[in-house]
Amino acid sequence: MRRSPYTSIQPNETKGIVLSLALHVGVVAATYVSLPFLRKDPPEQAPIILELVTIDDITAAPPKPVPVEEPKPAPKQPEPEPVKVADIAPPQPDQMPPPPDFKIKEEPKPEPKKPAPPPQKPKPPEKKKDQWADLQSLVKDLEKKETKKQNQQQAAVPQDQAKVIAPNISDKATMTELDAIRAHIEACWRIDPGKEGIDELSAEVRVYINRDGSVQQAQIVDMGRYFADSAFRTFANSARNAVLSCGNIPFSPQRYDTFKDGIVFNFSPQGRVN
Amino acid sequence: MDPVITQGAVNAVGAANHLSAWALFMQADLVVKIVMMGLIFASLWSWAIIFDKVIRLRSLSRQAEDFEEKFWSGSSLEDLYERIGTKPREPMSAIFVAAMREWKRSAAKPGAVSNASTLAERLDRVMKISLEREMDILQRRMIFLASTGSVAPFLGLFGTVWGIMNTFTAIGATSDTSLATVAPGIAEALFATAIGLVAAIPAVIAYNKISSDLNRYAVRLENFAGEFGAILSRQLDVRSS
Repeated sequence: MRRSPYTSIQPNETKGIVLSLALHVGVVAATYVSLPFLRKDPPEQAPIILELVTIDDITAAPPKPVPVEEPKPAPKQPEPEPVKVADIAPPQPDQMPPPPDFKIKEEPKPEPKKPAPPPQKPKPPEKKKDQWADLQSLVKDLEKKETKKQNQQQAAVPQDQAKVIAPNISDKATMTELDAIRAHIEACWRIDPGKEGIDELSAEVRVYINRDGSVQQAQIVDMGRYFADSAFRTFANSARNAVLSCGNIPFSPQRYDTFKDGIVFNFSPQGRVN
Repeated sequence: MDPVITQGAVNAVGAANHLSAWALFMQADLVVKIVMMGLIFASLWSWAIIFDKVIRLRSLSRQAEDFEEKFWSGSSLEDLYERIGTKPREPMSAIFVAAMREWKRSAAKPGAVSNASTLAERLDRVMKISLEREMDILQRRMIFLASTGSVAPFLGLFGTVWGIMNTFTAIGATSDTSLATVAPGIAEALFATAIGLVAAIPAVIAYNKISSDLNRYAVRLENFAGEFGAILSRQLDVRSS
């Protein structure tokens, strides 16, 4: 710029620009590194009761096309039979697998409080009954009678399942969303319970779902073992197929964000095969 | 309903879950992005001006003190003029140099001193022009601070309105009015206003402060010019008598 020779010398102005840049970068970095207000995780959502179901409803809930079988006196004596190669072994009439154990872990954030955090389902029936007895002896008697009757009459899966779920919800007869999902997928899982060492196995499957509840992707978490261990591979495939073949997962769209980063299902027959 | 639009809206809403500043920026509409970038640039530039002006004013007032000390120390003004030469470092010495130069030129011409009143007038005019030029340089870019302070909130508001329009379009496309659909779009839209205010508030405060400081400095220069003019005209009277 041309200027009169007697104007004062102007200091250069890059200092201000550099300082300004430093200030902005500093502020942005601070918001990312230390200041929590822009990084705050979405507020935790209180558990939403998906359905109000009575025990009867749950009993009817998994509408599995199970071949109705005649009651067998002793269905629980699975001899270690020759291993099947098929990934999904269709349930055999004699050895209908009792509903397998499901633990659902929510990856992003475990629910802060659940009205009735469902205790481990996979416990053997006897144990459960004992616990139950501690709580209410009178109800226990009733329950026992009922379940015994059921057991004797049919060993079909839905009834068995109902028996397992019943204690959780007997008070209020409500079911959390996770329970609904669990029951939904449980109904689709077929395993060969006679397989050797199957009760030692458990597989985690991470499931990504779309907004409409359809399954986008189901990944087996332990891929190393998947390639190394053929028994685990078969088992994990059956678990994955259960998820993939199960159709849309029931959940409320408002809660999609909770499930967006994937739900981890833990498939484990342990304690149920004996 | 156009399925493509619907799917896009669903995806946009589905992705709009992390509300960090960067995510809010990235998932914004192009128009909103441009608005945000403009506002960020305005903030950057106005802070550059603020830093520049504050640093400059501080050093100027220090230099003015130094100069006044030298000026009133009783040493010869000729010596001072020689020392500063033609490269004054700050406005006050620039005014001094401008007046001294005019004085010396007039004094060098024989017979020029005879008309003392015109010389004094000339000296005043030279000092006034020099002062105005210096103040003009100092006040440069202050207008950017003023405009940022008044325009940035409106610009941010424009981004917000645009973003909310998009949100409502998405609601219309998906027919889903759940909070999860609406909230991210609104948060993203409000982010534009937030940036606008972040740019505007410091600009307004700094504009007020810096312009009052500049005024005070200008008064100081004027006072110096007046005093120096008085000294020179007294000198003229002494010489002509």
